[in-house]
Amino acid sequence: MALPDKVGIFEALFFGVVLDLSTGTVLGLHAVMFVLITYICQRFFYQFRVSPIWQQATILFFLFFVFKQVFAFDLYSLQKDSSIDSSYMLTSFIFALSSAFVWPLVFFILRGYRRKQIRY
Amino acid sequence: MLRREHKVSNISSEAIFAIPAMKPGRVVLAIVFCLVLILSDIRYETSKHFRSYSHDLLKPLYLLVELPFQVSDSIVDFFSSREELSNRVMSLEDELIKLKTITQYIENMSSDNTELNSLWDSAKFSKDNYLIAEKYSLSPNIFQPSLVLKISTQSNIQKNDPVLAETGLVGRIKGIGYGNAEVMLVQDVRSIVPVVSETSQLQGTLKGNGLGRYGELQYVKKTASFKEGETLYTSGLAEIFPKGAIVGRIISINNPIDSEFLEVKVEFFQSPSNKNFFLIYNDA
Repeated sequence: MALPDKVGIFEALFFGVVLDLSTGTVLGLHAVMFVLITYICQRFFYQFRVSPIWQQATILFFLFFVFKQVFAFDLYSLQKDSSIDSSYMLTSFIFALSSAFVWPLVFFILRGYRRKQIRY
Repeated sequence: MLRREHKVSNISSEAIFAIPAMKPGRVVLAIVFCLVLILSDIRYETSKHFRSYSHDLLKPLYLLVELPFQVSDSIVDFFSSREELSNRVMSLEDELIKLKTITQYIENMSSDNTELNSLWDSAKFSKDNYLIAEKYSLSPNIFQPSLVLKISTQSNIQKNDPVLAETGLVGRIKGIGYGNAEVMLVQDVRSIVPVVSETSQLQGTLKGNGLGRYGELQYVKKTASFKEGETLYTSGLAEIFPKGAIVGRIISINNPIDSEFLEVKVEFFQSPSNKNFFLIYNDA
């Protein structure tokens, strides 16, 4: 979002595949999610970047919530999606909410680092 | 964020408006590539050939992640009193005794059953068939949790070898790298374990539903007489898991109107989250 010219599709693809290999998920699942998120961020970063921090956190909340739901689908047997139940929805909600709350801290730390260390 | 920071004049100094948009063609190409990876992995399990080796490559990363915990542990160890250390030694000794007891128990069970020439006649339990392996990492992925164990490079571990802990079955070896082995846990949504119930002696297949969640007995007819609280053991039917390893306990039995099968929920006895050592059974 802050440096869209520095981090792009290939980085998203690479880190996605690495995460798939290390966490045991279906190969390519993290990668496709990261590619989509990178594209969304790159496409809308003008709007996203200048919006207030609470709006950013709200958008991230929905993104993380959807992100978590994608991983609940049992891709090996598509007859049913029993993995998504109330307890998983609650876990996803807490995960998305905590991520949204942490975002301001992450945002200011990364911005501080970028302004001090990265020269244009 | 302060209101004044939203002004274009404050952010344009970072030259973000000169960045060209991402080419949609590249994005489509990347998504198609990912979909090919996903489909090939689901259909042909392509990743199983190199997934374990990737853990070897990612070892420095794991060590980096573990570093803060190791540092904090070292500091705690450094300042801990002699009494605490002796308590720790005692607990480790307890754990060792437990492991010995389990091995002894399995040996006794094996010999008894050989004499009876019953269900256990083909089981070849011996402590020489077991290897102790330390936990390397456990991925936070709920539905396809991946447990990675440290193994010796000379060890004779093979794919599909069962992995056990103090009180039952943990999973089976899915892939082997140079210094590690990846385990598919019984809680994994891809895992199916043939089981037999303790009292009713009914057979079934137990499917995982994710870490920290109940498993489910599949395709149980409504006439089946499973009972709540019954313990489930491996039946050894698929010849992957040895007979008689404890797997879990039936928690609830529901009779849904819209299904021709019973809904049998099973609680797994083993959770790898709070265990550090595991036994790998190899009868080769």
